[in-house]
Amino acid sequence: MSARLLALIALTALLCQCREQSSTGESKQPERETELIPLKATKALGSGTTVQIGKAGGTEISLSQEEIQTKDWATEEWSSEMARFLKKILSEPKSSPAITIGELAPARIEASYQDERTTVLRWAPKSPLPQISLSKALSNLTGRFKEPPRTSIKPISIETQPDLISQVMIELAGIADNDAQREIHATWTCSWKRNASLELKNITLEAYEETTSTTAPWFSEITEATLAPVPDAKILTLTDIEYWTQRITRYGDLFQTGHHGLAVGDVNGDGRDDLYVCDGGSLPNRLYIQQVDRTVRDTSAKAGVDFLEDSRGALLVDLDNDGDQDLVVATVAIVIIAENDGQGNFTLRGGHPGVAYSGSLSAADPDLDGDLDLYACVYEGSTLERSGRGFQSNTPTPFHDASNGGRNVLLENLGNFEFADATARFGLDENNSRWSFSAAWEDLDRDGDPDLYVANDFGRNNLYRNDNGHFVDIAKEAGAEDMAAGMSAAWGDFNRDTKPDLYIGNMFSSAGRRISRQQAFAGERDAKTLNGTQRMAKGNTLFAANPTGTAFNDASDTAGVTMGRWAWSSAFADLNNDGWEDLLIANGYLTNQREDDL
Amino acid sequence: MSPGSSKAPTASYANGWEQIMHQVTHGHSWSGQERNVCYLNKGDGTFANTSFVSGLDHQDDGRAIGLVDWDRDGDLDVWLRNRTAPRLRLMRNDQAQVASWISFTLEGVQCNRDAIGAVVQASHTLTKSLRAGEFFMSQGSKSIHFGLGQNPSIEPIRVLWPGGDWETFPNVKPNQRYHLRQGTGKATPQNALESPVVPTAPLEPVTFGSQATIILPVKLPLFPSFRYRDQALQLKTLQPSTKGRLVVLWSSTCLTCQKELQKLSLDLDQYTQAGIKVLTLATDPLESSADSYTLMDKLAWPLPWGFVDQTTLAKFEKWQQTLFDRAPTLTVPLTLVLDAENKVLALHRGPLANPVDVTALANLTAAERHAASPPFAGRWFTNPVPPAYVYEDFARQFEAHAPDDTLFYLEHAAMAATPEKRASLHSELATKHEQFAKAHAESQRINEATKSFEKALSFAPNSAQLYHNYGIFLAELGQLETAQQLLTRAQQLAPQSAATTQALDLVQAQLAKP
Repeated sequence: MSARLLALIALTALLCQCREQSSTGESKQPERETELIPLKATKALGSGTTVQIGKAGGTEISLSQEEIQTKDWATEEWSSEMARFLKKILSEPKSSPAITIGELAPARIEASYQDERTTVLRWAPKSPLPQISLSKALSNLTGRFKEPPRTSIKPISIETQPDLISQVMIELAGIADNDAQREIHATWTCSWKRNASLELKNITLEAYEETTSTTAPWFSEITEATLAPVPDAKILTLTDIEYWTQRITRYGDLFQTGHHGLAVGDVNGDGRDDLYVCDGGSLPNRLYIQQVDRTVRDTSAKAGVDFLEDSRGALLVDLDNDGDQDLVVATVAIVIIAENDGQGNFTLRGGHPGVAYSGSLSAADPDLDGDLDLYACVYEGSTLERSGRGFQSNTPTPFHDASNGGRNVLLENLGNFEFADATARFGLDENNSRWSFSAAWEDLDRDGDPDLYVANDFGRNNLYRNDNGHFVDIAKEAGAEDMAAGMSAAWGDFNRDTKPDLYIGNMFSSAGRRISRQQAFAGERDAKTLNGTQRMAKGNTLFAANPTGTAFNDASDTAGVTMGRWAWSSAFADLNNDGWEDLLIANGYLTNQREDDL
Repeated sequence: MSPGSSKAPTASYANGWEQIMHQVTHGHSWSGQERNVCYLNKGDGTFANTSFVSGLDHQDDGRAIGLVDWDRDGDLDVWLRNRTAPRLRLMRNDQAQVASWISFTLEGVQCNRDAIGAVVQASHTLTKSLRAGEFFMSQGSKSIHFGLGQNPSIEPIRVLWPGGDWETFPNVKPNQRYHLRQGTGKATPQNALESPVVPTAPLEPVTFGSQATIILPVKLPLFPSFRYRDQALQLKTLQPSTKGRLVVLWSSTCLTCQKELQKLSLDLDQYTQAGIKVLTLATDPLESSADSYTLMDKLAWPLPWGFVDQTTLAKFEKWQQTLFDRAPTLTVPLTLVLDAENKVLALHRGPLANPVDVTALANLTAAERHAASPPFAGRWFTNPVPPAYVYEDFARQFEAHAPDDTLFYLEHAAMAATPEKRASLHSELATKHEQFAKAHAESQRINEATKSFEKALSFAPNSAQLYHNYGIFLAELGQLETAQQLLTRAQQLAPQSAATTQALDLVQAQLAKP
């Protein structure tokens, strides 16, 4: 029986405990720097393994027999070599081979966008560009910056037959001559000859976009000053999850995926928004109350919400219509619900035990009875026999269209902080075993009741239309299935036609794009699986609503917004106040100490 | 990305994921070092990549986004929740200085009070709706914020309240926040809340040491095959103690260790008086043991000490990997705090700040241990993890590497388990011991085989199959009397078994021979 299940059984105890229990544990922080000697195993564990002190020359644990089979993929080796080579000649154009190519920084391009602060130049292939030497083309490109720019080079596809050709994503960022901020995003097609090493034969510019804006970035960071009054903010926020996963045991429910969210809301009714931050098991959730001076105070202990249970998503919403913001938290055990006394102090009113390990939460009133119901996304299917981490206990099957994920739950508000699982009655058990990461409500047909979009990993998403309190999944007929690695769902009217459009956070994996197009991968898969798998790594999706609001066209490629890297929250937000919804994408999966990336 | 490439897709996916997760738990990155992306809507159906100029392209493992006009100056600021440090960022937007805006808080009367689900139209092309929860584990402010650009022309505000009623709120002006109460038809201006400006500063990275004090959430037995060599290089096992023990791993090449041993030597009386044993074990390979002797001589170390066995050290790494989701590199000095039964109470990486109160740690109740194990203050509303769960998990994790240790942890799990669970663990233990017995028997390790059969019987005292197999084993060894007893018991338990009857007949025939 899992710890989780037992946690559920412990619920009754919890409800009386939680009110009385005061926070007892004292903050135990690492005290000071010390010189610790790492011990390194010379080979993977097994009988007769030798371990020696990691002096110079000591090797790290070798995982050779367990390494991923990507070593079999010559294209992956080439890809690294290509990136290394291009990075080198970009930083030292003089060292580049003596070949002649078309310009890489087109001289005459018209502005495709201009406002008071920002100019965007965009070039698309029309007539051939002037031919110059590679070294000149590269120095012209880097010459768009005053100092050598920050560069990023990612091969996004490789063809090997008949010739070795790669498509490469180039990003340059830095300061322009007039001290303005500048960034260049380009796509190159590079052709190579395979000798002992790779020899660059040609580069063709496919796309070029140059954005120049004000001397200062649009946003400036105020984290440090805002959190300054919180005594332990530094150790709690300036450490990686990886730091804590080496200090908190798995039985303290701390895992290294780092899926912990936040909720904004005015908790004490003073007109200023406050912040609730979720954290992993054995790390306390925090309630930060905004002060008159805009800094925050940590009131989580006094407010009774410094829960140590592994927490994913949270909501601040008025569940009893008394004018204050109550708290809902998706934890390892249950969805818990706490009542606000109006001053920002909370009383735990219970939880719903039917929803273990939910992630993203959302609230809406789908039955229009005047109170808010809750929708909890549950990513993984039941894995009671193990503590259910990552994909070790339950593998998404099939990878591109998996239907063995968790069951999302609609918790109907019965009043007095009681909730019941009404998923089936609302019709929301239809297609409800996918790997759901996110859900977002929107009245897409403007009939006064909220409809629901659910973003699922490993396959198709759901679009549930609300027909008088009964939901029907219309994702397929609406053209909004978006079979991919869905992580995030956002609604916003990006084209200002008053119909809400959708932006879906997916996975843009350059390695995935390269590999899934290779013969060795493609050869043994049927066309449908292959297309599905290739789609998985394509990136974010922008769905533009048609005039009825209930069907969608994929506008991702024309809008140019697929590249969100390994995307999580992918948000519509009018960042420059011009009335047009911009996009902001928080991304990156697992950055760990070792630099080599999988 | 789809890992693996074998013909059986499911197995290959599972295998691939497992391999990836294995690498990740050993410190590899996976789509790491990625910068946040920001796209500017150009208003013509296309976007421009403005990640860098926005100042939001941090190389964080980003997760959640909280949109809110935090400083109430008329533009959207951004809270970011990350996996990597800093795990929280507040990014202030200064757009309001260059473009107009208007914002609304809503109050439902006929509908839910938060008016979640309401749609607000600020003009015939400006529409937004109010949501609670979106993106990935994120919830932003309930203020609805409209950017209005350079030349704002505001029409009467129209609100579609949940339920389907449209309501118009006339007479609003740009650069102002309003409260819209359902049914009033009147937009109420909100006072500005004046505040000083918070200073801006990019966050500087901070390095925290590898030192740690970790109180385990359960008392966790150290694996039974823990071996060390005493000063005379004799291989020893850890015996139970009366009050508890510190095991300090150190190396003669580590300066911190030398200082730590020095400091520890001053505290030894205190430990001895409390009845706590202190065992210091050098991790130095035996070929460089001279350095260890020299150091201990210099310190005039008064207690027995030794060298940790190298296989044990490797196994200890496995033990740590089972305990932590991200396997930490084994570092010295490392102190294990053990209770009288050699269950680990706490781990200290790096020097001890103060002498450890082993007795107090050992005497913590389960609830106290639960409260003491997190590194920060906070509250639990769930019960502590049951020790039986942890022990069984350790058994499963050790299965491939150390079968003997697996049995040890399974036994501990069985002792700590609920009755139903205990029965199934006992039956598993019996099966495993019987398998060991058979393997020993095949390799002619008679004593070990006998022990394993006895062990198996202790967990399954009513298994006809066990009595049968044990009986056959002894009969083949010529121990016919005992074999007869065992086979008779087997027959009593399974009278219908022809094999048992046949075997018993044979044994009895043999015994009947003069």
